[in-house]
Amino acid sequence: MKLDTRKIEKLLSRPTCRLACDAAALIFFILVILLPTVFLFAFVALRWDEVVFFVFSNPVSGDIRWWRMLNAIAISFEVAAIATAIDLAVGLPIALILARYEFRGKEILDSLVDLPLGVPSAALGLSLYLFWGTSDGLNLLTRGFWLIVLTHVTFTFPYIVRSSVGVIEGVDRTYEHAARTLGAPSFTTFRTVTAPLSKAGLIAGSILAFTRSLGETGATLVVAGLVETAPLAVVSMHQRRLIGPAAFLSMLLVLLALGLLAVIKVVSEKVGIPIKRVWPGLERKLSGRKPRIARDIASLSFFGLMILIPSCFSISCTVNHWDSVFYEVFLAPDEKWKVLVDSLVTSFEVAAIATAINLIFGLAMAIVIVRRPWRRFCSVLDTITDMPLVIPTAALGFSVYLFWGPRGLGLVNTGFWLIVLTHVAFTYPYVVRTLVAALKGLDPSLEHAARTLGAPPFMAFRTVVLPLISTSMLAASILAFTRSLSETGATIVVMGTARTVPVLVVMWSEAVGYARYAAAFASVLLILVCYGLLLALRYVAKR
Amino acid sequence: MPDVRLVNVTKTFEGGRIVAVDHVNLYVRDKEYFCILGPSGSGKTTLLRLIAGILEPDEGEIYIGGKPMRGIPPEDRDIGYVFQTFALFPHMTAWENVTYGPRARGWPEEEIERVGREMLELVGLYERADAYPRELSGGMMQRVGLARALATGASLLLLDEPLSSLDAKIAFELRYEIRRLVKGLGRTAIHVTHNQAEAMAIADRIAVMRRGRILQVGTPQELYMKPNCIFVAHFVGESNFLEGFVEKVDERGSLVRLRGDLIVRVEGKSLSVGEKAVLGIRPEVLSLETNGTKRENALPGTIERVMFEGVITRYEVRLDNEDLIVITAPSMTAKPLKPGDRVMVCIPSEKVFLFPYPERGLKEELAVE
Repeated sequence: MKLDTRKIEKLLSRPTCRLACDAAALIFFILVILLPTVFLFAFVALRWDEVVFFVFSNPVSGDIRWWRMLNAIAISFEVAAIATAIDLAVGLPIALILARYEFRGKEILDSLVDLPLGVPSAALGLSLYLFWGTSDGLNLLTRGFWLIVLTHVTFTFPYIVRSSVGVIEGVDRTYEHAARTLGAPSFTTFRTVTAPLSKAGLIAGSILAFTRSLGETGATLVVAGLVETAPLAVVSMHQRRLIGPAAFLSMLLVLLALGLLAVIKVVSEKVGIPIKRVWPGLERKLSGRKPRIARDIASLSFFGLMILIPSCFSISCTVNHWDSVFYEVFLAPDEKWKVLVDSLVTSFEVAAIATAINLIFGLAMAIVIVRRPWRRFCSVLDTITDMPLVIPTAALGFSVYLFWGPRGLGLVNTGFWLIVLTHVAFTYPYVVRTLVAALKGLDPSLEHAARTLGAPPFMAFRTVVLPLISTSMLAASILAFTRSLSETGATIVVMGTARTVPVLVVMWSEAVGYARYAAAFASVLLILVCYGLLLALRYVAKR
Repeated sequence: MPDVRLVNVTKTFEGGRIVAVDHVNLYVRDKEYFCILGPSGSGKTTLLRLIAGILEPDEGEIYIGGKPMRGIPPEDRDIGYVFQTFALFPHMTAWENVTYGPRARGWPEEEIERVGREMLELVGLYERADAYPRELSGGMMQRVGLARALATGASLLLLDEPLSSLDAKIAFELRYEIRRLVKGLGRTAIHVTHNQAEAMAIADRIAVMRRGRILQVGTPQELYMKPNCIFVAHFVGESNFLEGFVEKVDERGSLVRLRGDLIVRVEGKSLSVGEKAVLGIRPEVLSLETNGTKRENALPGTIERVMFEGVITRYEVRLDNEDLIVITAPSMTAKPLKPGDRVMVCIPSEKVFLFPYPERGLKEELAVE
């Protein structure tokens, strides 16, 4: 028996098997991820006449759609820019607190910062709307531009803090000690040493937050009111069967986002944080105890009052109005609970299937990227696997729909399986990214050791590599799973008659006040599941 | 007047579970080149960081130039700090690194220029001013680190294992260069190291540290010739340690009975009759005789190993009482001996250190971790 497994593993280690595995990874990537994601561009090119007719020279409306599109894009960029700026202003001090202070309750603050990351954005949007815009909460802001900005600040905030904490912790404290012993007070030290050394990471975090804001749909749908951001315009055009213009707008959004990222990258490499000049008097004052405490209190209270409490408000709302919730969900004649159960099942099925598929093909792909000797090719692959990350999910869903649906290959119709395909596409980068990092961090001599001890390559992989990256695989699964569970924009475009919970939250909260409490209930369910999974992820990652 | 005084300084970590510095009292004189010598984990780097203000002591007070330092942040202590890992800012050139201190203090531009040039010239790297740290060798990086620490004109220089990350040869050259610079500029220096040869070569005085405590402070000669405890005799230079009991104390010294009833006469008489004792004997004070007769302080034994180490040759001799003893002799003049040869080991009574037997055992006392 023992010998047999060895024989099988020897067989599996043969170059043909390896080649088959690599080929499967690449074919899957091209067919299921890359082509559906970028099919949009081909579609626009193929249907250019249609696009021109609808967008630029419609006999009825002329080029008014074009101006509306530009307006929507402008709003999207404004929101993203303002949100990222606020994130940086509030997030950096908090990141510094987390990275450099030791205090009791640091763990708690650390996990609270991640809260909005674990909460599906549609649920978050509803929570913020309930907090700011209804009589249950403060009733201060109506749906519209500033509520959109606040919502986007809330869900992009963790990206900035998380990445900043990472890079600041990565800066060797000895540099800071050196600066201090050379006479630089703490503010000067941060500006001239810590900040320049973590610049790249800070910019990466800002870009992440910016793109995430640019492409968000679910929360925005709930809080937008009459304002239309670009992803919302895509969704609404799709719903009105304006396929050509929707494709065109998606493409514009993607191209502009990519262009802007390129510009940011180039500019940030050229322009540094000023480190030559020092203003000893002013900076000494800023380094003092009082300004530092004031800054910490200000940023922490902003975090608590403007982010944390509004994000969890739907929970208290559900508890306070339990009677209405119970009536709307279980007693009302339209039997919302049935729909809710159905969509819960759908949500979990989609997330589970998408995660499983990505785990298998993502691992194969990660191996190709890290282990195969084709250096150039591998680094190109490494870059383009991130493609789905920069494309707004509504546009991505739309592209997947065009590719598989009746207007493209005609293989899959809107509904459950198209949702799965879409979710596979946008969760793929998360899995591959995590596994590539894990494989790269592995000491290759461990595998060599197994080989010299008589293990065939497959066995070495199974017995040494796989156990060592198992935590990362679990982390990747949880990441993909929660991401899928909370997605709205892409799902709306491809769902047909199927429903997922985030979509339900959006639909019920759009029905002007009527099913608000049912929506709150559904979103609380989502929040609990997703945040629970996120805490599990943190626990796994710590071990 | 940058003398440094530490009074009862204590620093603990992890809520008091680790005592890194334990009630240390120390005085470093103005313009002195002072070394703190100790094995890794002895608390010597913590002590330096306390002086620098990177850490604050739990207890006790540190005075620099007579002024108490509690609550004063590093940037206001007028010190220079040289790091083991160099800690050159990787995003700045050698020039920007060296002039960082003057700029942070807001000196006028021409003064910054002058000091930067002077310091880089002092360490012989002015022509590499525009190089980034990654373009410099280890030795060059530490020279820049030194120039940077000196550039602010700080009269107290703190050096944390400045040579430990360098190749042996470079470290050897640089140790004298550092001393020359510090002495030339009239600064006070506190230099932390685990390398006893380095400390002996450059220090005016040395403090030997172990487990957070200072064991002995003295000139290199004092530490070597008159170690006050077993650990110092062991860590500074090298010693044989033989256990025994004090048999007799008279006007010429003491007689110590080793196991196997071997008697050794020593000059010290700090212990009383019947007390358990440890004899510390440096290998180079011992001599070997091949045909010696039985007499006082000549112990019979058999050569077990001979190790040629270049300048000296090292002999391990198993005494007839089973104790092992190491003898070194200059290679060029040493007798040709081989394992198995019978010898007499001659002990000069005036060069033996007499210590009381340590409470926690000899092995524990010698541990360097």
